[in-house]
Amino acid sequence: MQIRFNGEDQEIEVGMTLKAFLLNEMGLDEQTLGRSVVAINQTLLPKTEFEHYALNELDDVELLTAVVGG
Amino acid sequence: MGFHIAGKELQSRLLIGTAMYDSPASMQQSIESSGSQIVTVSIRRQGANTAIENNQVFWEFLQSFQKNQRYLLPNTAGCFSAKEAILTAQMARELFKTNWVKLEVIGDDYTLQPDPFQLVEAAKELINQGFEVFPYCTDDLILCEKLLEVGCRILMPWGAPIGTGKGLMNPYALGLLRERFAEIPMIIDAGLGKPSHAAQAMEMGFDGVLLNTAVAKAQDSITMANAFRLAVEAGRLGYEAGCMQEQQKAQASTPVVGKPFWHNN
Repeated sequence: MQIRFNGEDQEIEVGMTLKAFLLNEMGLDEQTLGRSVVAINQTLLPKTEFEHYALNELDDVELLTAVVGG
Repeated sequence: MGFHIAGKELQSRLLIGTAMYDSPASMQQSIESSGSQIVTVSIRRQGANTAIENNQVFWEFLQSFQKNQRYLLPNTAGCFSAKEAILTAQMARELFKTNWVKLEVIGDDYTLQPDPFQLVEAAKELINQGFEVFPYCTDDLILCEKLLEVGCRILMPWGAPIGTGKGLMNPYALGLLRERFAEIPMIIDAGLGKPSHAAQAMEMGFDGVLLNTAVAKAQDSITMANAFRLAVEAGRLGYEAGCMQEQQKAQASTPVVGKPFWHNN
């Protein structure tokens, strides 16, 4: 099925969890996840839900991290 | 000289941004030189602007900065609607574990000035969600009144458009805000370019200043950070000391009595 991750379309297996997607498909590590925050379909997903949330068709996932700012 | 803001008592009245420095080292040294206890940060897509390893370096800096009475102030920079700003604030709270938010809801790409209507809407909702809102606003009296009505405990009127270095464009309007909202902590945010601008804001009785470009884009950002630190302290001392009243007519400071004979007609 298709989802959108940080503005780009991604093809993933049905039923994949967010955490599995981020670690296995996007190649991120636990350290990166520790300093990141996620919104799905413009709604905040608490970190505690990363490994429980099963991605749905056309989910729009935004993963953000701390950056410099004025 | 204690500075009470959002339930904290701080020594420094200079808030500083983390952006636009020549290097991470320059940023860290400039912030140390400034003596600031509050720095602004933001959130963006992982890897969009910086490599993953640089993100980790910055994250580690933020963790160490927060020791010893120093705090992060996440911003909603780049948001053009209340909806965007609210989600950004929620994500920042989840990430940084603070309910503080520098609320920016921009209305124009050229001036980067706030959209006042979206700003008030966002402030109201975020306050209802338990945020401590630091609203970046203009010097408009009515806008500031509305922000206070919806529950803001702090105001952050601009000196001038972000990054312009123009200083205090409208001292009259700012003076009016200071006078009208005497009990509200007010921080001049944006547009400062020189230490004298910061001193001027503090002499007017503002509680602090927030700046980024003026330090980051100075030729020597570390020394400039120190200059702003001193300017904020000097301006605040001047305010507390009570400056003389401006006069129209000259008044000799040297005594008239006892002038020598050659001054006689």
